[in-house]
Amino acid sequence: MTKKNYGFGLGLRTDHFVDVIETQPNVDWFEVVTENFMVAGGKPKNFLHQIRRDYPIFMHGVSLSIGSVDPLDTAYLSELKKLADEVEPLWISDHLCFTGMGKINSHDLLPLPYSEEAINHVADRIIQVQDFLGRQILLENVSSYLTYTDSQCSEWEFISEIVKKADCHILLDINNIYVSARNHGFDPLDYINAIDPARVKQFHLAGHSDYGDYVIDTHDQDIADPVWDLYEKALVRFGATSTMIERDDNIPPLGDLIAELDIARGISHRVFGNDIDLTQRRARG
Amino acid sequence: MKETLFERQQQMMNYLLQGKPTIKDHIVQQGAITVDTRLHIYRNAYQQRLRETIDTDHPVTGVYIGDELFDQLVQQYTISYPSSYRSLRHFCDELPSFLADQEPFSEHPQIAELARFERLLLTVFDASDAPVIGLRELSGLKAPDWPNMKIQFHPSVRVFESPWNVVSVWQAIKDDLPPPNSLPSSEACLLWRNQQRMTEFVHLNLPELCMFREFRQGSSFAQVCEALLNVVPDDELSACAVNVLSKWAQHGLIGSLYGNE
Repeated sequence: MTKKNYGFGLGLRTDHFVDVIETQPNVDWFEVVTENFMVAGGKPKNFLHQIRRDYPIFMHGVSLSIGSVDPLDTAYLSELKKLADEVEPLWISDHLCFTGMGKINSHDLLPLPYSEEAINHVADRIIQVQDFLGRQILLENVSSYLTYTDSQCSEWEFISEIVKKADCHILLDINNIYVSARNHGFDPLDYINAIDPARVKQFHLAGHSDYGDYVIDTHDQDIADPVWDLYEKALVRFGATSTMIERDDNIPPLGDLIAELDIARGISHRVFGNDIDLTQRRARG
Repeated sequence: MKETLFERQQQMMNYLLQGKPTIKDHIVQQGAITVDTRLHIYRNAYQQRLRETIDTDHPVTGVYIGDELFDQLVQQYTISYPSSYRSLRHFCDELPSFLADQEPFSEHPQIAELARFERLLLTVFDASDAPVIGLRELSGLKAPDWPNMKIQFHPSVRVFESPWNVVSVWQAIKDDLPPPNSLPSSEACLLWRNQQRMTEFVHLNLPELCMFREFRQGSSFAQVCEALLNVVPDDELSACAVNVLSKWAQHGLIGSLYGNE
């Protein structure tokens, strides 16, 4: 099996725009939150275009609401396609969740019941989205804090069935697996071992807040040791996979995040040695 | 077929927005974490996220009204105006009109005006990009073309007119200074995004405001000068008009000239 591995990326955040442009850090690509750049113009968008000249970009959305019972938002899809035409991202991703209904947006990634009804509903909508965009998308597993009584299968069975039916790919968030495992009491390795490696195109790594009884996916901390351990096991299972750190709050200096990214590089090196084929290593001037 | 999914999503949204508990019967009791705690994690995140958005978009309004009123604002606004936008960037679009209509905020109309000014700053911040013309292009206009000359402003250019001195209040709070007393006044400001893509604003005097209004509604330079005669003496008219136009060109406010095609 060959897989495109784009190396090690970071979530591009406002605090780092200038640093990235001025210092050209050792990062293979940046991931942007799609909706932040669905604006007419201005400084952030200009920064994105500047950074795009030097780095490949992944586009990561939070508003597709693929699981919602509302009709697909065609205006949103048109804007998504327009931005993708501008940015030419390596991947477009969003989350396996719903974010609202009745035209009200919770601005949160709300869990779906793991039911046949939801599988069919989501798969059908992914097919429509992919047809519209003319490309495959990645769906990310979200962290969750509750299970509906309607659920008929595990989360890993749910996501596996959907991606097979819709023929899309997976952005596997390793931290989210850990967070959900703690909150629901399952073994995270059961999750990882059940996912088809051919479907996994990207990893997210992030920090969380541990409250003892439960864990919240806050993205405002360094990556915790158990998540690093799980990342190593995921590399063994899925092979070398594009990996990035997603920090959304309590944002440290860019150098600190790159140091954290170097930990991921070190783990990858430990697993694969130097035998990693980077599909599209960034050209350096 | 989709009835269960529909019902569950509706119950979840009703819980998040209004605290309605019917969803509880459809959540599995797992381990030591209660169903209430599990649901509360989501509701807390929802409320916190909206609060942070109001705080981020309207920091000066927040400081001006103080913590107690700000808490009240968050509570009432998030209930009255749940987000119908896909981006939180627009969640507070209705905040100025909410503050103008809703007690106790409506008793102090300057609060709504302050929020309106902060919203306008955001509009300017992410307005469309477009080229601008500078002083050289303006002064290169041939004499016969001046009377018909019209101006297309850069898409970020906005004017803020208020019956309250809220721009002065905004500036003082921004500078960590005690704000002046809120007073009825006729403030007018011109806002735009400069070539470094920073948001700027200047107060407008009467001739500037007159010229901006006229050009904005599509008047030609000759028509603008005619209107300007109402606020500027004859012998100062040319100098005033040229001075204002030069300033606009230097600031990068003028997108293009037209009217002589």
